[in-house]
Amino acid sequence: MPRTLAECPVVARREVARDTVVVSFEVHLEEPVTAGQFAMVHTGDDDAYVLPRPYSILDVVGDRMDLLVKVAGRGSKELAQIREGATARIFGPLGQGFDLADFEGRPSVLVAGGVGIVPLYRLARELKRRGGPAARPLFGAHTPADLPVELLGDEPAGPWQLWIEEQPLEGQRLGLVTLGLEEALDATPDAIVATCGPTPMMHAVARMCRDRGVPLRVCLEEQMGCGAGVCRACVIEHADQPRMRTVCKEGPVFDVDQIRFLPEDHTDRAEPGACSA
Amino acid sequence: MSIDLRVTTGPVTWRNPVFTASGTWGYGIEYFDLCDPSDLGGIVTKTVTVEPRAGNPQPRVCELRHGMLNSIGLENVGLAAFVGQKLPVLREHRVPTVVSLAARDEVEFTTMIDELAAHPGWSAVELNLSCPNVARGGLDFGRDPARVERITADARRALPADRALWVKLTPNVTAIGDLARAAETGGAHAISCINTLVGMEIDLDRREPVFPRGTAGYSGPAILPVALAKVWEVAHAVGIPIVGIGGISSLDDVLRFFVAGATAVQVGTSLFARPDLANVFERRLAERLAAMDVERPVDLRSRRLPALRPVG
Repeated sequence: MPRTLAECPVVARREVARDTVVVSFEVHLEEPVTAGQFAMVHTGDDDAYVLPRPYSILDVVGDRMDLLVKVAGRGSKELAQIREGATARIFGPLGQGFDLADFEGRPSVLVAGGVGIVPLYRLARELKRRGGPAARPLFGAHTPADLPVELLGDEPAGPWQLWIEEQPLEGQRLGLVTLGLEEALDATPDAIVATCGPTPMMHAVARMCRDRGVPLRVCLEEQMGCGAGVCRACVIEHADQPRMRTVCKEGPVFDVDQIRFLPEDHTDRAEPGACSA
Repeated sequence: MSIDLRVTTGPVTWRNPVFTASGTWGYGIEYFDLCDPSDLGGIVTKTVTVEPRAGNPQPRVCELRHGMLNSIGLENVGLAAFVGQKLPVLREHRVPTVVSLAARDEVEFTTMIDELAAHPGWSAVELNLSCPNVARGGLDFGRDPARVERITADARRALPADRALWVKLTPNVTAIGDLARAAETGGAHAISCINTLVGMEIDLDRREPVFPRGTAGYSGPAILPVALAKVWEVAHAVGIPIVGIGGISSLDDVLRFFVAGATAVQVGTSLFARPDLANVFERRLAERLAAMDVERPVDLRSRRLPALRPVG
């Protein structure tokens, strides 16, 4: 697992949707990056804000790494506003991405919401490059302004089916992206599903897959401190031992059947304030 | 001028005074690809308990300006897995290792030291008498001088003669000097100071504390002044070495601890953003001391402090 830890200059920055930019860094990563892997990024002064932020890696071309940044809080705002020539500390690639073998010889449905597009954009490209049964990528957003149109139009990852909650444009469907998943699974019940996006969306996807007995890979986002399995901030319960796995090191991609993902899976969870050990 | 970075705690001499703090650098084996922990004075492991612990429910961290709160709850692999899986790797890589221990009661500390004593690959234990994030033990022990002295004395008796005993104190007390004196009386070779401050963040949307337990441990650059003051207070109370911990994010911060009375330091929260930072400090320390016309870190010690007890 050769990881790079380095101060890296920003070589390009472009807006792709509302409050959403692609920031390109010059960084030499030692190994091929798989869909779902991420980098920890720390901008600015070590004193002011102490934690780096995880960003799923959108693309790596030679010594250039692209990250999609949507302004959500303080850290992402700072990174989204970074200027060309400025530097940030990059630590990556990190985590276990999607295993293409899971998608071998069967159709797949990819369900993305918001910045969850990033790992699935890469996965869609890899699946298309590999050939075999089709991958059907679906993307959900609140409004057309939230769509990173440039990425969604980028062959060979597309074409994406777009589900919009408010005022869809021509060629876009009205409603939650899970409606698209329902249609897709009706058409290809033997599919495997991959999802990444807001938690309520992924929960809905997980319930639908569970009801239908469809295998599902989830790419999780969790608050992280270190990105290396050390701080134990981003743990999730696993069916096997060791029970507590980190999203950053053993994830972020998991077989949903192997983890306690849905709130209803946590019936025996310890009371708040108690230690579960 | 020849610079001497070595620091001695009891029977153990460390090559330099820069350590990584417990809970911020795993078991010392997670960053081998980025930096060499055997170059450090040593690493302090994630706190180990007798049984494995799953830790607290989410959320477990919350970033704040100049610091962060954590409520991990001492999640760890347990002593058997530590001894079986982590310690051999540390030993193979010749990493000077301080094993951080926490216990539910006084007896467990000696039980754990007895078990550790059967295995090579570690040089000291650090008794974590000060974790604010667990329901039992932790802070309960660390706030009562009589119990601190008793636990320290029991641990010292159980400890092999060639290993050092460090006792990590909480800052969440009125008189930390009394606790340090109790640990010294009990036979501690060094005082690690400080653990996290008890803190809280509020979620205004929910109108509740962010953490299920309410409070959490506050760390990061914000606590540096508190840590320096506690080290200063402890340096007036004891003659044994002090390992300064709390908010270090620059080499200057390291030097500040030496002035305040510490002879070694641990880098903690800043390692999350920069896992190689302790190595950076270790590499630059000698040159920095030379530039200050100082041979040893202890030479920076404030003249207003009482002298350290001579080693030996």
